[in-house]
Amino acid sequence: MHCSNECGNIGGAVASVGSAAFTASTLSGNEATCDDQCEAEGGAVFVGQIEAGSASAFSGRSGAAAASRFGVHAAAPAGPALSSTTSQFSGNVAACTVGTNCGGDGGAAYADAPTTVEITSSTFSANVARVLRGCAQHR
Amino acid sequence: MSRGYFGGALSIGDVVQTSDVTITNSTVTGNSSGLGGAIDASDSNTSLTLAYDTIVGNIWVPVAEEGGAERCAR
Repeated sequence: MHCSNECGNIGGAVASVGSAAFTASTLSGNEATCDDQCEAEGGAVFVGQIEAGSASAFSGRSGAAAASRFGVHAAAPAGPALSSTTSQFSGNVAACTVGTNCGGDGGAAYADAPTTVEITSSTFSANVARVLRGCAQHR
Repeated sequence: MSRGYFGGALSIGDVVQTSDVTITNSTVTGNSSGLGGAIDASDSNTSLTLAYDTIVGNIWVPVAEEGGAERCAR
């Protein structure tokens, strides 16, 4: 998935507001990318809170505004929000292609806090979380 | 919420909330990120437990800032 300007792009393969569990699964070559003024999180998997409508409409122009997008968080789920057993995550990408007021976190997976993550006998290889060109967003 | 290219393999959100991350018998290799490492929980109150894992060959790739640092600082 890719979007351009003032947008949000999460979970190239899977986006869940509850939990996601993978067993003997392969998630490979998925992408969550965007150009600018945007967020791309979880190249393969996103688990977290999504404000109504925000998955497709990014309203923030500044870093501070962008920070409010996922500002509402529910209590931690009872079970693992993200679990992986004997699964492979390879070649997934969370990236900004231009990168001003932009962020791409979790090349393979992004879990919004509070959360519980359990990964067992799994492989994460050649995943990418970065801006491809432009300005880095420092915290 | 995105913070800027953290966690080539896995990133935990940046709200100050308690999270638990457990990675066991797993391999994390050849991942790249812009500012953080392969596994990033640096901006959250996360308990990270690693056991019997192989974590090798991951890379932090600094951003090539177009137009130089002055343009990017504006």
